[in-house]
Amino acid sequence: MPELGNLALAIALILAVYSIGANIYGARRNAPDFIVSARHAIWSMCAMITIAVVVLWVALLRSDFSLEYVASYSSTTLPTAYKFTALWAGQQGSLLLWAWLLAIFTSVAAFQNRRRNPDTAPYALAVLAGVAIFFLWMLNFVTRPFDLLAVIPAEGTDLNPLLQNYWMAIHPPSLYTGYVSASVPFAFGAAALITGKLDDGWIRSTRRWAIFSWFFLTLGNIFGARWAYEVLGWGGYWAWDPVENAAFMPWLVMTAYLHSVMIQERKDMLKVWNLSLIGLAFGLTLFGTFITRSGVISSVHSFTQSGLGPYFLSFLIAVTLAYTGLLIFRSKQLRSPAEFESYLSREAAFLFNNLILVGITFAVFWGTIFPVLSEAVRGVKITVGPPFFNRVNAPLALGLVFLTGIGPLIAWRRTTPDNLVRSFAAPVAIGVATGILGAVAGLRQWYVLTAFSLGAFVIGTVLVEFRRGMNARRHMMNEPRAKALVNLVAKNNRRYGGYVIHVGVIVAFIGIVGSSFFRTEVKKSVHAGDSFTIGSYTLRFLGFSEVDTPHLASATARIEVLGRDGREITVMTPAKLFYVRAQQPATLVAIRSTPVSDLYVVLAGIDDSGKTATLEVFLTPLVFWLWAGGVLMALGTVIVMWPNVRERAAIATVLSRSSSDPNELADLVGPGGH
Amino acid sequence: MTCQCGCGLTVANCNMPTCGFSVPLRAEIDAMIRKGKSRAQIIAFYRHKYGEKILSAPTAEGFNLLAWTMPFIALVLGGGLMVLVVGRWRSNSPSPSAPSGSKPAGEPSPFDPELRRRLENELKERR
Repeated sequence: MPELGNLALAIALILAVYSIGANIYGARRNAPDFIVSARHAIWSMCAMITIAVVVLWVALLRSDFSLEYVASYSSTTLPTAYKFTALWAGQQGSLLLWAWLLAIFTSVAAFQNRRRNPDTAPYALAVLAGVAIFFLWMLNFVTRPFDLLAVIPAEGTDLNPLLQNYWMAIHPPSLYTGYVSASVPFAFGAAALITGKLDDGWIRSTRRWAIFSWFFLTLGNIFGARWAYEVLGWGGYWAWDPVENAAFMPWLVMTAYLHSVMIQERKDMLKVWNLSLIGLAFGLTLFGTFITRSGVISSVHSFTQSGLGPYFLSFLIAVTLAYTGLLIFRSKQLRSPAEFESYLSREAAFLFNNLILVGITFAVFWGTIFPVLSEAVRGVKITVGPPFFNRVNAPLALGLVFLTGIGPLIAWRRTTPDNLVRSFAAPVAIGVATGILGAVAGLRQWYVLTAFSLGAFVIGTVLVEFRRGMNARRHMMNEPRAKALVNLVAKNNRRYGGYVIHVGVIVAFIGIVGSSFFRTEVKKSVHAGDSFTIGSYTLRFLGFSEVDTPHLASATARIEVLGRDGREITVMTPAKLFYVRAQQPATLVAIRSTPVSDLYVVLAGIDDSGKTATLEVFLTPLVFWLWAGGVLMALGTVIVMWPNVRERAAIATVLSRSSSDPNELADLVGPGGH
Repeated sequence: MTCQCGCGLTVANCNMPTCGFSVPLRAEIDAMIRKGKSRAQIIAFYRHKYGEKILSAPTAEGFNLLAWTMPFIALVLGGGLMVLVVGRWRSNSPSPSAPSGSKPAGEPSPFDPELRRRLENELKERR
């Protein structure tokens, strides 16, 4: 079986190389046969990598310890679900997952473009195949997933206990999907530069890809935060760890990109900027992998360190140089007659939005690499930790929240003071009222007050927009309220889905502010029967129960939680775990989540006599809303991506007319922003 | 202060079950506080013992100042560049008061070519 995996990867590499040649030759010589052949090569490459993935999965499920990978990341006692997820627990496997996703997305892009974009698609697919070659090269020659062990061990070393968690089952694939799908818009951008077809065709053709990528980057970040919250046992969810930053930066840049392309689609400006942003997003996905794999910067999440750093760095530098070279080469053609009337316009709001998003990206990047700089310049190791990132980014975040409220309501080109008052009077009132209410309720931190007011302001703007649209439908179409609302969203899914995403971002932001400023913590050593209080809760320790299995030994504390009135609310069961194979301890936290606050209990220690438990209890207000905001963001993105019937009909019409103008089709496939 | 167990968290936060650093350190710090040592004294002690890497954020001095200031310098430079470019764009476009300029959005005029183009684009999208 392992030979089959190796063979499949070797063939995949050859097919990737061939598809590039065939695509470029076909495009230059106008030989459609070659383009078709290249497409088939891409699909076959995808099939080959799929075979390799299946082979590895089978080996993991069958605990075939003759494979080094299986022996290192699995064991006979590992639960089956985690044998499955062990595919991306180690370096070889996660690179294989990356290559597989890339092959799938490239295949889908090849399928979508079998008639569309005849000028640029071959080059875009060649770029994607080029990226695939890099990963396949690594898998074939540098870090091989199917290497055999000389001596077959009887038992594997098991999966890292921290990874034996369901969030870890879905967090890496989500994040990788987000990373890898960003390659598609990047490839079409590069193809636009290569071919000189520099209109917004590449943006329109890959609009859905960009949103898809953003969707999974969002999920990947939220799942990762949730994982940290449930597994690391310190009551927090985000520590500005280099790996977290590496996942956050592409998200920031993609967010900026999704906004700024709207300006290009509408006004045909910012061409260079948008091409740069997508290049930056792609580069940052490679950079993220580089820092997690290289060990240049230490991190809690980098479970797979190795000497891959130089390869990734070389590839990153090569891509950056080539892409920058193309941008410079085309710079004359990229100049566009730009118009700009007023800073009181949506264009301006988007420009500031981009400035702040890229500013935050830079701050995060700077903080992440500063320890390396410091060591290089001064020879002194330093740490750039959460206090730095929080302090630098906090004011920027406020600016961004403010713009989230302004952007959607302000008119394109310019707006009059009259308009401003009409649009913003109610939201401003809501924001100010929230601030006053907060101050009356005893909030004193200026940052919290500002954040809550701004958040309420933004939600106010969205409410005003929904009401305005709904009323318009009610009057013009005579629809009842609920129907008007549903139709409003369904008929303008991009716009109103976008608003839902905005609300999600704000809700998550409120959750972040609340949980960062008001967390309380109690640490107590207790005997059975002892009780103590935190906030309005009283916790009583009832005793231990122990369970031993060959895979896992655990000691679970039973804790009765009483409310203020002395009534029992729930029983919480935090545990200390010991993974037998890996000989590693772990904690299982117990969380009781409510919209007001989360009660988070960690069994920090058990004394030698086995009678006393040391409990660490966190009361974290509003953290619930971070996850709720994540759900809203996901929901909004689904609304945005929901296939529009009208749009499909339009595509069908054009196809039946067998339009020879690809741009017309592209126009219809990706109607301009709101 | 940063925990040195490789978790990247602060000493106060690290709860990694495999961490052998934070727990004794927290006890040590408690003891020092009881002895009446000031915050600055304690930090100085550990900085001397472990080096600068124990501090969870860069100090605001010397080369480290760059860490703190660079993000804002970049933001100001970026903002300045943006204003410059926008200034050039504005000189390209018709001045808002000129008769050829459109009326403010929200009051569509059928004779305005720009709005007309937009209207047509949007109608095309609706098709």
